[in-house]
Amino acid sequence: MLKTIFTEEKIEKIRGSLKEDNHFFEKRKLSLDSFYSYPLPSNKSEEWRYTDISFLDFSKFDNDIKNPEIKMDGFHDLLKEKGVIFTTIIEAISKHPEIIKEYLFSKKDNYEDKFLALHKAMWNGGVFIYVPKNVEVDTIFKVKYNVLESSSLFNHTLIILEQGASLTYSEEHTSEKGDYEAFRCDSVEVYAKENSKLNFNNFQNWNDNITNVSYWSARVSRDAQVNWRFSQLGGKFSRIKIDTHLDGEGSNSTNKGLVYANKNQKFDITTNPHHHVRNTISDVLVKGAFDGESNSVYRGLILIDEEGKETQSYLSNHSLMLSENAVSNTIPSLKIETDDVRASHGATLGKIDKDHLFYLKTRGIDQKSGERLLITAFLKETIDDMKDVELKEKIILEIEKKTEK
Amino acid sequence: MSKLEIKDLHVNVEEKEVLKGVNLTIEQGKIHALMGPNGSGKSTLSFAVMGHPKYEITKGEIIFDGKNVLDLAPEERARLGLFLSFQYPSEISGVSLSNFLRTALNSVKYTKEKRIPVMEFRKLLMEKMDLLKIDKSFASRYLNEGFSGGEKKRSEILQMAILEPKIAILDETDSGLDVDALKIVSNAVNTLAGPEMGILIITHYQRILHHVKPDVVHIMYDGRIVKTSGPELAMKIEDEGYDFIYKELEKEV
Ligand SMILES: Nc1ncnc2c1ncn2[C@@H]1O[C@H](COP(=O)(O)OP(=O)(O)OP(=O)(O)O)[C@@H](O)[C@H]1O
Ligand SMILES: [Mg+2]
Repeated sequence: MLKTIFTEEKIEKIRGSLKEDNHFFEKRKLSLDSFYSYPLPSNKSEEWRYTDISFLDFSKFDNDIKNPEIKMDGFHDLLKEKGVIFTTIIEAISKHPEIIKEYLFSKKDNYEDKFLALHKAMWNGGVFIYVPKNVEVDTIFKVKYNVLESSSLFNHTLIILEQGASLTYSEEHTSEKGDYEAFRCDSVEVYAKENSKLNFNNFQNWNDNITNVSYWSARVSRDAQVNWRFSQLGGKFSRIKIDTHLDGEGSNSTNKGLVYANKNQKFDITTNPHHHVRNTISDVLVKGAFDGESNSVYRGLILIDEEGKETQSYLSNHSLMLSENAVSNTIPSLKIETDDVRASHGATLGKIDKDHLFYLKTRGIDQKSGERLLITAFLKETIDDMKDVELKEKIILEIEKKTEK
Repeated sequence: MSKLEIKDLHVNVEEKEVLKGVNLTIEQGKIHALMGPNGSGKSTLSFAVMGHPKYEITKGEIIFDGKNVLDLAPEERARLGLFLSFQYPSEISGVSLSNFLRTALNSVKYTKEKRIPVMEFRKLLMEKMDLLKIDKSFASRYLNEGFSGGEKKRSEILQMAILEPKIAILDETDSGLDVDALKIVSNAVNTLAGPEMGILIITHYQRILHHVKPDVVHIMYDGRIVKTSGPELAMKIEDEGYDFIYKELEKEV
């Protein structure tokens, strides 16, 4: 059935609307073939073991591949003069085809995945950011995506930081106009060159009918730093797989995120730091609060290659169970092929502390407000150091609102 | 005038009877001290008064302002004007002291429609922090997290200063305070005390009672109040221990 929805004609149509050259089109065709040949993810594969996607009915989504509304903010003339690019990927493809060609999907993935192949075939919009050597972007680049209709969406975000560049980027996802069903299959690609620094902030608060499958990856060169922050609140099903490749010595990455699930929501989060060379650092902290009948899984795999001596890699995951009927699976693991490393992982699972709640109540704070304070306090640790303070405050507000539901 | 009346209170904790018939009345404007050996039930009494779900009332009454508070949730008791300074305050990461206090003050003295204006709250907070000589930086720190023993106790009294209860129970607020801190806290308690507030000071030591002068001293032993007397009783206990009380009790039996 998927073959009748995601067809070569669709790719032709995208090619037409993007006015892209043949290079891209040929790649799309190859990816579409892969998409057809890979099996639909099922619980037989480790990656999808805890997530049943049989509920996904593509015929429900409007057959056309659409773009969400995109609002961009933070760019200014001085940055433009310095050679910074902050634009839609559609515009970039005609204005800067060479850079896009050089980077887009340029690194081979270390796994095969049907939806990633689909994304590579169908990508049709998104954002492109390029920061030249030693340019420190003094504003926060903000992108607000708003899903406007029932559709399939294939956004791509490509961020390139040249040597010594720095940037804080925030993306916010909503579906403010209605409760339509939509399928998102997006990808984020980050290239952080030597000594550059990226703060990447993500926040989504979609309606309960949106299905999302995301693939994020970063290649982090010598002494460079990539800090991921994600806050996942909405959607029917949201899956993010984040691969951070620490390619250069002295590179480092933090990855902090929160998930807040209720009703029948499903989340599936993976954070994998890959330590390819020596002296690299990764710190992962993921927190989840699970209410209703929600069902979530978190996977965190620390991979340290043979070359990865003197590496430090830490991973911790904490779940707050708010309902007897919610499910949260955590699978932290290590794959270390050398010695002389410092690596640890830990996970905890708990409930709201009754004594904490009582303490709050003795100060006049009722059950609901007390829970709101405690849930927010628990989740908030992952965004406490977020550079985009405006976004941080918004996320806290949305968490508080969600406790009322 | 408000008063807290505890009548023949029996309390079970995890199936075990800890309070075995406590009678105690605290009126606004009066300062009571409650002493007694470890494990005699002093903290249990304070938790029962505040309505901790683990403390099951099997018999007796707690009446405040003529209302039976046993049917009320802890937050409703707090809104009526009951307050407990905890022997072991909770550490709550992620909730800043000022955010917590503002939420508490709004819950106790304001309504959903009418909240305290942010500037007014800041002013109040700074004023009360001054009173307790708490460094301003504590306002943005997480509630009791990483506070020293003495700092936690000061933070409890700061909360009392902001919420202005009618009846406050201070459960070993003096423990863990150094000499200077004890003076600061006592001074604050004296400033807040007055005709509007009744206080029950639970303590093992005479020293706080030098600063905050009690009208009455009670001794709790094995879940009951076994002796009530004037302030001289506290002094006697500090000098002699509880032995003379045990002997008196034996005689009664
Ligand atoms: N939550 C609880 N779970 C189990 N036992 C409890 C609990 N709370 C109190 N108890 C028991 O009840 C008895 C009275 O304890 P309580 O804390 O009230 O004593 P206290 O007079 O405050 O002692 P201290 O002077 O040491 O503070 C003790 O035997 C104690 O072990
Ligand atoms: Mg005690």
